[in-house]
Amino acid sequence: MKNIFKISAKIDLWLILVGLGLSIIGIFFVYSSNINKDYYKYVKQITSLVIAIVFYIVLATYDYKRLVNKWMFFYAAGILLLLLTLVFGTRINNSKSWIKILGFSFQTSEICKIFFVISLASFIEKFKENIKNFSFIIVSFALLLPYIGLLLLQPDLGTTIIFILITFIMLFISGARFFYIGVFISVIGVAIVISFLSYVLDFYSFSSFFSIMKNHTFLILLGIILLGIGLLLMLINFITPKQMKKLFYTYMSLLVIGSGLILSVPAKNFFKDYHYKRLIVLLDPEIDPLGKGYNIRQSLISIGSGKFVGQGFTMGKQNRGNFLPSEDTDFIVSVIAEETGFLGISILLILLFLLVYKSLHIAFSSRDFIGYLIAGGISAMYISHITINLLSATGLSPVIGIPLPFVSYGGSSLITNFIGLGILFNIESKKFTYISV
Amino acid sequence: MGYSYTKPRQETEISKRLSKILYLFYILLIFLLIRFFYLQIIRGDYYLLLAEGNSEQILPLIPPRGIIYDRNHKILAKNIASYNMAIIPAYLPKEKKLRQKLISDISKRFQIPYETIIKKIEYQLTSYKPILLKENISKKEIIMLEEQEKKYSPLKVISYPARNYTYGESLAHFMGYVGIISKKEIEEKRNNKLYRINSIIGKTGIERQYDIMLRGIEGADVSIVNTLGEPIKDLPEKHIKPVPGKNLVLSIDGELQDLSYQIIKGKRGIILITKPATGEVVVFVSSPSYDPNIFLDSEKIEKTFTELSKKPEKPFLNRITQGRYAVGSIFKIVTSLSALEDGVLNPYELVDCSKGYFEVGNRVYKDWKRHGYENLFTALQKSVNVYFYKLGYRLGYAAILDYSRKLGLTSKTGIDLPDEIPSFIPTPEWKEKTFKEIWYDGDTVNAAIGQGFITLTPLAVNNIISFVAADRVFKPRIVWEIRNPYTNSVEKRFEPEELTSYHANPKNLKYIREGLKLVTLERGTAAYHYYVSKIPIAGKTGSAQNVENKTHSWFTSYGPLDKPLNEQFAITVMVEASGHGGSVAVPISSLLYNFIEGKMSKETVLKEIYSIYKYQGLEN
Repeated sequence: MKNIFKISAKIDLWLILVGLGLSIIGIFFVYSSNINKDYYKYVKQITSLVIAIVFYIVLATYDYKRLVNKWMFFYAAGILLLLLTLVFGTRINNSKSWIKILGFSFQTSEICKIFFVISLASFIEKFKENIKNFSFIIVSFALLLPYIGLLLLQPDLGTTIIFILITFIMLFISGARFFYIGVFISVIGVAIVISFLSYVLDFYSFSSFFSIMKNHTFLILLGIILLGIGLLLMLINFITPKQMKKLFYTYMSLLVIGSGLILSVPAKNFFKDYHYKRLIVLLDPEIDPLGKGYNIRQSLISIGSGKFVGQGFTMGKQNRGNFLPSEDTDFIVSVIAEETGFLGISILLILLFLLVYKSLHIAFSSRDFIGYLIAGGISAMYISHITINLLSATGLSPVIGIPLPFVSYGGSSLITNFIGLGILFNIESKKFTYISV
Repeated sequence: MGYSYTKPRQETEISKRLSKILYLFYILLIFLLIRFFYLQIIRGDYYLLLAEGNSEQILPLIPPRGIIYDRNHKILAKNIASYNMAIIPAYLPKEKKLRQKLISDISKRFQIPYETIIKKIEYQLTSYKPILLKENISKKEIIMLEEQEKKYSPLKVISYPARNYTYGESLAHFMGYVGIISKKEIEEKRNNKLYRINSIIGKTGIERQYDIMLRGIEGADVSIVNTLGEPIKDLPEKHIKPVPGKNLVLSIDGELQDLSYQIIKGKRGIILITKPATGEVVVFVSSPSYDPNIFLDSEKIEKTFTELSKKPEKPFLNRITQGRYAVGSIFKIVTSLSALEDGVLNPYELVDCSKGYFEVGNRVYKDWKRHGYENLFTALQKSVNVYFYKLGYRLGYAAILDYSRKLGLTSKTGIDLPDEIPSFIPTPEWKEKTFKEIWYDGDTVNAAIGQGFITLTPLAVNNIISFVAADRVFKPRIVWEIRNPYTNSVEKRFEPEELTSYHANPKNLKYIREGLKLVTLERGTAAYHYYVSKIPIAGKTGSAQNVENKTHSWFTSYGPLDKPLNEQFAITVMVEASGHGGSVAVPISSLLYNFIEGKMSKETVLKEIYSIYKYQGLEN
């Protein structure tokens, strides 16, 4: 106990204050958004906050290096937990993401994020010599695969994307070859884009010229052709290394697009109908204002109608009319926007920025690589949540059900985020550790 | 500083990367800030409007329209429920394939083209507002919807009140019809709160004249709906109870009206029966006519309307209120009255009418026959032109004009129908203005026998004979009572109203009545029909020149003469292009009197009429 006081004297309290601040804002607006519905939800949130603070204290005092030692255990535990959820879990909103114990529901994927960050960070640290290799990237994703596989079986596309983003960010900050990461993203990107294109074109019933894109054989054939040309050029490049750079980009692009095309076929089978619909609705919210477009439309109305100072706490029209779905989770920022206006949102964004800035700063000033990685991973967790949640609420990305850290209603999420803060605190507290010179 | 710490490897590169992440995030937040700014400040008002779309929805409750009864309390116009089928797109399945399947099922079952349905709901897949799919659905279809309620949950049956007219075509010209308010009408009734878009409004006839009484006052059901039109809360405290329209009782006799119409159906003409003692209109038939019941079906309306408007016999023309005709010899009554009242005529005086013509200046005015020496009585009886030429010449036009005015012939009769036009009695000033000619004696002479510029509406003609019967000119009236729709008690009863306050000298009136009575006897122009003699009446025939070669046949009369005034009727009949007054108009009138007095059945009347038509070569 003595240690904490000493250390905390030199450690700034911004992070925990921001965390608490955001949590309190969250409680207020969980209250406001549920005022006509489940009135006492905010009490649950307060309870979760108390528990979260307990976890925070525990993790803040627990040496993070000891977490690292157990990384394989955590990794397995995460997978086991997800498996158990698939088998024994309860289905809420079409996803089997929850386990009920003693009347409480836990969203297991939340804590798995922490497990995974620790595991991936440990892995990267252990094999940091190979960090510049392409194989490094492949193996990292191999680690990711079981997690996202299980997640997609729930199905929880949102959390999958979070995991992928965390992985990318962690690989990026670890120093891996950016280029390879880029290639990886591009191939997957092309595959997704092409699979969406063919769906979108079908939906809008364009002329038969574009329907050729729906033809799987066509896609694969074209992909193989492009891949072939690309490989050929690569071969030529090896033989005649003169015009390296120009040819390099050419054949790399061809390889990327080619593989993307080929991969788009399995990608199409992979994405469900409603995923596509969510994207289409993004482009054109009016096309299904009652179905998939409803959320976005209502969110924009809520946000916009807040204007500069908002309509007042608990006074939001949309709020009171219960027009917003998921108003205390995915769209809590819309409620805040409606009731506190641009002013309130600006303050919120400042707080969120501070959260990320402080977390990243802890990563920067960490005394060792592993601390750096874990702190970076936890920052990545916050960053990806904030990004997706805010982009969806403002209609700039499809809605995939990601909560805003600390603010959105959800015990598991709140606890996980405070665990993250705890670990960050611990990492930060160690930056002044004496080592024997 | 007494401390150091191990730094991560490749510190600069790593810190660069960290910074990159931070910068990216920073840019993202700025971008989001701008987005919020755009949504909240730039488009704030727009979204606030959408949020405030949480509005009160007022559902109008339309009360039943007043029922219209005839003088015997038979229903002439009533409300029937008509059922339309609408679709609420928001209740359709969200899955595209399921939705299409259901729509094609609906298309097949209710015989609505698939494309039509798609077109109607195309851009409104989310709306909770019912969209009309099919009008006037059959009972069978309603049952089908009820039995398969779950399957057809997006479909809704909407009932709306429509008008049903018992005697259809026969009464269209005084009853009128209802329809949806037009743009022009909305403009006119802008300040009247009773009328909204899509209000049902009486378009012509009684339905229009008494529309405000008939329509009652709309009520309202108020509820709060969200931005999608879905009701989320009822506001019973704002509920307004509708007030039903008032019932009307008419002086029309439905059965007699129907019979009269059957008599001249297929011909162009009118039958007008009133009570001289009060001005009650008992029969108001104008032919050809149209079926006001067709205006229930709005799809049919436009088609039928255009078709009917194009017909040359003009079925929409109300010949009684809007037909002005040259009435010929009927006007001799006015000439006689003027001369007698002015004191310039001795009714017993004999006048030489043997030449068969009368000369004025260098013009010759012909008689239809060479007569002998006639007095007023025989002149009226045989409709002697020369007698009246001479009389008119002696009398002068000023007197004729004066008594025309006294009889209300220069203005509208004031019947309670919209769009009445007044008769036309020319004046010397008018002639000068119109033809740049002065009034000649010849014009007076023509006027004396009802030729020339004089044109009268059948209402005016009827008023002339009514005056002879009652010594008063009343405004004809169709609606006599306004009744409470719940209790049927009389809320307003109309009294007979004089059009002019003119009374003639009873002695003079007696002379005219004598003359007119003779018309139906011996060698009178109306005497040679079998049924005329059965019921004592007095009247005057007329044959008006007209553009086609055949003349219009007029007969205006009153009777039975052996009944007191308040039990007498005035009957005016005109059939276009059917020959002399006596040929068709007289038999029709006399048959009607026989029927009214219970001396003949409907079937016999019609049988007689058809045989007369055949005889005259006037079959349809």
